[in-house]
Amino acid sequence: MKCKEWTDLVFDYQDGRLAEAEKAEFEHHLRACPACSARLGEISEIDGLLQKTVTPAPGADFTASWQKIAAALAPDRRVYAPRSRRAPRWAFLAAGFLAFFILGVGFARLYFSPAGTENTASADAPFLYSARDYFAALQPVLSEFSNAPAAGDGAAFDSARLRRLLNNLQLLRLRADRNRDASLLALLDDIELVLLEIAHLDRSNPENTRLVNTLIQEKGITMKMKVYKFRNRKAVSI
Amino acid sequence: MLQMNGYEADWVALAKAGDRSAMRELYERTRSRIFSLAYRYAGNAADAEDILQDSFIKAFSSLRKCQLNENSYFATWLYRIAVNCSLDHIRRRRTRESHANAEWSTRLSADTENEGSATPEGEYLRGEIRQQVQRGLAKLSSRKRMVVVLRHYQQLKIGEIAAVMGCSQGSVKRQLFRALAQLKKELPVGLGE
Repeated sequence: MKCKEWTDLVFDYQDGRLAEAEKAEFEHHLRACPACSARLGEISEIDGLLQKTVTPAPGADFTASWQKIAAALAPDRRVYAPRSRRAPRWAFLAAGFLAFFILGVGFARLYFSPAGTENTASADAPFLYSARDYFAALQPVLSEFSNAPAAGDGAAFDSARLRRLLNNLQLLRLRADRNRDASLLALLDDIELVLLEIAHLDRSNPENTRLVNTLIQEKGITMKMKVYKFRNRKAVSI
Repeated sequence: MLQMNGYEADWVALAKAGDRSAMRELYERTRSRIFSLAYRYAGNAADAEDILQDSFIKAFSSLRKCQLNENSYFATWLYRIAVNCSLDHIRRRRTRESHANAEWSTRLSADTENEGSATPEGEYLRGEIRQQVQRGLAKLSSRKRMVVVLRHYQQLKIGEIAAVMGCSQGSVKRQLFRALAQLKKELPVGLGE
């Protein structure tokens, strides 16, 4: 190894990115070449000095900064906003056929579905067939819980409603397991944890309600449901 | 170092579609690192906040148009925007103030000294070293200083710095090597002992 090559390798050596053979050759050169060894010592010394001067950055008002960023951005768009460009004629024709097909399938399902199994996306429905409907039913329950007064509002969450959601969750879990949908399984675990916490909540102490709200926030369930729907938007819409 | 998890990929996709809550989520997850980078580079909290805001406004405004296929590239891309905003910010400031580098050193010293006002002997020595290093850093060119900040304060690897700075790994190594050599000249021998 020449001293010129050494410059190329020294930072990779520090990052631990050299292969065993390269590392051995590099270290062999260091032992044989006092000049390169001294230069590595100098670099290490500067590194050490820089590390000694690292102090934590001061705090910042990140909320105020976000408000300024949000104000400077264009108004919020709908996630699935249609494109503003005029579509070609064939697209209108295709859309017409597709609409006809979807309406046909919809009518057929309505006509042939057994009584009492309408897909109503409500927590009171007997069974919600898709994750999307389940999330739609769950979201108001979570919002209602977050917005409820801190204590003594047990009436808003009747146990039958929570039990239905928990039972429904088990059926969705079986379906997710069958489809090997790992992300849905993980999300259902989080939802189950939160629903069980709500079901067994001692409402006499406002601190308990606050803790469950924190749990909902930490698990990011609302965002994860949104992400799941976004990820599976094509599959769901057909 | 700049890797993100699976859900963040979806947040990026949602943010690209214009979803404000996904943008907020991405902001929450990356703001500290971007602020830290801006602070280390600009040398004071007020400028760092300006850089932070400029970076995210630029990032979210152009996210829809940019080609981000892999989620892991979002952080690198955001870093690159923050680096450019930092360089622009300092360039603008330099046109306003003729002694920007000297001021950078003074401001950073003042900010860091405020963190621990009661200094025992060891802390005093540390403060001295810190001031020497800051003076040395202030004398580096913008890009060399940025390379040192990314390497030593943000702990990025050479490949990541190259991606962020938009240059080759060889170029990063050369700049880092020269920056460290220049720092070595600026700093008294045996200061760290």
